Amino acid sequence: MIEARDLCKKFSQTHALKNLSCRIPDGCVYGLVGSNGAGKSTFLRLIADVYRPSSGEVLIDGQPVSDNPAVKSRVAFVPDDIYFLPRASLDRMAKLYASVYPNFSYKRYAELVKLFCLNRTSSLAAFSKGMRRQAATLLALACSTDYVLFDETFDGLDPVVRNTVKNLLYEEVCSRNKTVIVTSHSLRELEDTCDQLALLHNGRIVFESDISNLKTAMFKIQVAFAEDFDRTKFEGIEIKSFGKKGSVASIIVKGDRDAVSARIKAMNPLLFEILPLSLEEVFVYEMDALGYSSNIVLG
Amino acid sequence: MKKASPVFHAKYFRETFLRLKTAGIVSAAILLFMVLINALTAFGSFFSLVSGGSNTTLTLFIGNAHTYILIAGMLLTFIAFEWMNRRSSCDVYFALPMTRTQMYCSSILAVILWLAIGIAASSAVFALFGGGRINLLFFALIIISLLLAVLIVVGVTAIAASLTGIRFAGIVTALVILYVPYMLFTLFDLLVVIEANGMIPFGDTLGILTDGSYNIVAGGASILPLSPSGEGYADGWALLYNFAWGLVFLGLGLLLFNRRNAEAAGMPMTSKWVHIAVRCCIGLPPLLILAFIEALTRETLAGISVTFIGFSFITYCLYELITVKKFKKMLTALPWYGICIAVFIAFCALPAKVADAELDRDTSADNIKGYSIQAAADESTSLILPIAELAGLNFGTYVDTYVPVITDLTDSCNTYTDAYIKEVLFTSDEGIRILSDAIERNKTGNDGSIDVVSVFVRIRRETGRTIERIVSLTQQDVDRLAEIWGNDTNYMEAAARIPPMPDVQSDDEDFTEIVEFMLDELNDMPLEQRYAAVVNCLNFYSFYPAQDHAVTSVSDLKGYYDMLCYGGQCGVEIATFTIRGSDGYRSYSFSLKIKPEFLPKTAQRYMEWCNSHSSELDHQLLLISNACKGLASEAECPFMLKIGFVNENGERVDMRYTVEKLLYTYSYISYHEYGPQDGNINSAHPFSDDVMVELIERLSSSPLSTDPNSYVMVYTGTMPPAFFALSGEDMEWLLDQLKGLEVIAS
Repeated sequence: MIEARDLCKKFSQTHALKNLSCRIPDGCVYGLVGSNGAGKSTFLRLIADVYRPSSGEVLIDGQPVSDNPAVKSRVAFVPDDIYFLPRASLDRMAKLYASVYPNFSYKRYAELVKLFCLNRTSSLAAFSKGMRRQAATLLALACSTDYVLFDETFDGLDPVVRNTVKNLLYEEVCSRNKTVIVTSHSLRELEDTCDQLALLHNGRIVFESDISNLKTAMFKIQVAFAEDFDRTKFEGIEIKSFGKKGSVASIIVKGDRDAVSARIKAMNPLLFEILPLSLEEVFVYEMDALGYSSNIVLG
Repeated sequence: MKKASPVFHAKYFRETFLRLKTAGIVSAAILLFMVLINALTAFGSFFSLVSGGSNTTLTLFIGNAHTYILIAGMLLTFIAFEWMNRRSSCDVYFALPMTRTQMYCSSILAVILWLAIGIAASSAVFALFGGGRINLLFFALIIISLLLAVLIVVGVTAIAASLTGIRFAGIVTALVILYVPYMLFTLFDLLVVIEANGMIPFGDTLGILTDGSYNIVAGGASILPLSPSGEGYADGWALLYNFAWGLVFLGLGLLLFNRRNAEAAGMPMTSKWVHIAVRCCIGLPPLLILAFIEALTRETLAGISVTFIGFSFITYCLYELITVKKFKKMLTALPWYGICIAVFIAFCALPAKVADAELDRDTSADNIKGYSIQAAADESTSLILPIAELAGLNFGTYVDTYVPVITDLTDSCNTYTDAYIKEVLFTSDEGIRILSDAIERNKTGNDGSIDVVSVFVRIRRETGRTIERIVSLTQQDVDRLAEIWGNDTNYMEAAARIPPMPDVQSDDEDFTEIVEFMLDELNDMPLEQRYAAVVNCLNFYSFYPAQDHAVTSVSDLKGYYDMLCYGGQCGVEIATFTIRGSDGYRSYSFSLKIKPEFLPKTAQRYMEWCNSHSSELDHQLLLISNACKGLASEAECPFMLKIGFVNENGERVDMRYTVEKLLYTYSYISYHEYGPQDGNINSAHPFSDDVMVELIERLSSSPLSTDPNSYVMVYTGTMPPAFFALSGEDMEWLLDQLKGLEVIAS
């Protein structure tokens, strides 16, 4: 299990992470979403020990990550900006990783190279952006680590490869009991991929939840009454957003669906309908509630 | 299961070593090529024995290796840590499962191994092709010193790489750390020397901080274009000192690497204060040069000041602009330029204060217990002669060109006796008073026309403390001091010490045998005779004008006369033999002129050897004859006549005639005579070709001489000289001819 305790990271005058605390259980795909500059990549770099925390610590199974080779050998990191050695081929990079990751599997490496149909001897500099990301992904998976961190996982991948990567991640989690942490701006991708999701904003985790809970815990209702009404009519219900057109109100509600439904039905509405929300809508409404413009978030 | 080392990661070391392969091989190959070329170029001269007396191949080897260490050391270290300058590569490397310490140490060792391979390969090439005569102990010490330079360069570069986030700033920071402190210390010390009218020896104020051998990279590289400091490589303490600094730099590099933040990639400097310091160091050199000029001229020159300050300011701004890349950001750095100005003011004001404080120390005769004569640290001909030649003083031409040399190490001018002479404490009241008075006189500023020579002394005061001074002396002081030193038994014993025959392989066993014979002759002499022989025959290179450098012994003083009047009581030598050897960790040279008057047996042995090469005699005389016949033309014909005999009154007479042809003017003989006539004559004569041709004819019909008391030596500089025993009639004819020449200059 990965545990972050009061994690702070400061860059000059900017606080990238502010007292972030969370626990990421083993054997799941954990998604990190958040606005630009929310601290997603910083958090991953702290887990990978690329960055040193300004305060707080990251633990893996109770052991600190910082400068701890035993723990770091259980973590593979695929950053958003992929780097390979100058003029290196895939095989050369595999050699580098194999020399430092004790569980690097050449067998798995060969399988993945075949799966992605990449040339293992030609220079990586000649690869396209998507191919470079495939190469980085397969190298990370070949390291056979318990934790794999992907920053902007699907950036530059075509739909086919994207599905392949998704399937790979499922396989890693299901059959190898790995923990995969992914960050992405593509909420639809995460919706399909993740078991758990955390929303970061201004260096803090605003909420974290199972995907299924997240989607059921927030929903949209459309309701109309014979008499005129406003937001105060629904006191006691956690409303994230309230809008009214004519006599019909559209309300984003967070809470237990059955309890809310029973309560509104008791008010004898002329119209009452519950609609599910997409993950993207959940994200937008949560961010709206935090005063963050949805245009920027989804930009 | 084998436990992993906490400081070393073998596989990452191998990875880094492979990553540096291209740069490592190319740089080592360039060094090998340079060493090979230099070694092969000099190869021929090793067989000839006609040598200038310096082991130029070793000098070149050290120079090449130093340059290699500096350039390749920085290059390889920067490549090893280049990834720290990019965020994307930081994401890969810092995430690798190893400690920062393992990563640093493995990378550093990979760099050092590449450099060591380069040095080892070039040393082997040098030893095979260019170093047939090198002393293995010294060669090992040189290699050790080069490896220490590796530690320093790699350590400093690692520090710079950890402190900076862009390549340019890294290179500049490394150079600043390597060179600026030594430059500042050296300049400060020089300014103190200038302010003290040259009375305080260079290095006395800041000690080892300004000593090239203790600053193996900065100091070594700065003097290498002229000559490596042979002493530097032989000083065990200096090696330890440099080793300690190497470890400090590497340790500091480790500390900074461990504290390095990945987010510093792309930033000019990780620390604001280090950035300010480096920036100021970039702006400082022009200001320091200005401080030096003002100290030399002792006035403020407005035009020059504005130029240098402007240049400094532009350099400062330019560096900042290149590193921060934004004009606005550069503007914020301008107030810090004040630090440069503050340092400049300090360099203008402080040296005078330090010099005054040092000169204020009590050196009155009552407070002096005794004094000793000190050899300066870097008395190197190659350092001094170019300066002398620049000043129009062409001293080098008087050195006999036919110098059989048994070369051992480097071009060090410390004579064998220097180490012993400097231990002798002179306590005579008169000598102390002369020195004390001279010091007081010097303080008020020297008049070059009065003070003729400088003496480097270490004064031991009654309190037990010692101070060092370079004291300028008048002719009268010199004469008296030479007499006092010459009557001091301890000094005589020290000065007359004869070195052992060095264990070297000579290409010509004849010369080895003659040198051994010479040492035996000296050792068989009683002390007084040996002392007289050494003092009068010692060959050295201290051709220093008064106040430019200090003499260190009576031999120096004799040499000073030799330089000044080219005559006096020094006699005429027929050859010069130089021994270079090692005495523990100290290298030395012992160069003796073979003067028949002082070393008759060796002279005779040498004449016999020359006569054994008489098969070349006819050819040589023919050459001289032909050359002399051509004197009317523009052909040059430099040759030398040396005549030595005992006259009818039993007095020894030695004469030297140097025949030269001056282009487009006239031929002349410069004439020097030594003997009872007390002749210190340096004259030029119009020269008659007919006389010379007849002389050659008379010589051709004369037998060869092996008598040091009666000979005429003819020498062109290209072959062994010929010694002739002229009959009484021929000798009389020759002397008549010589005396009859018209003196046109003296």
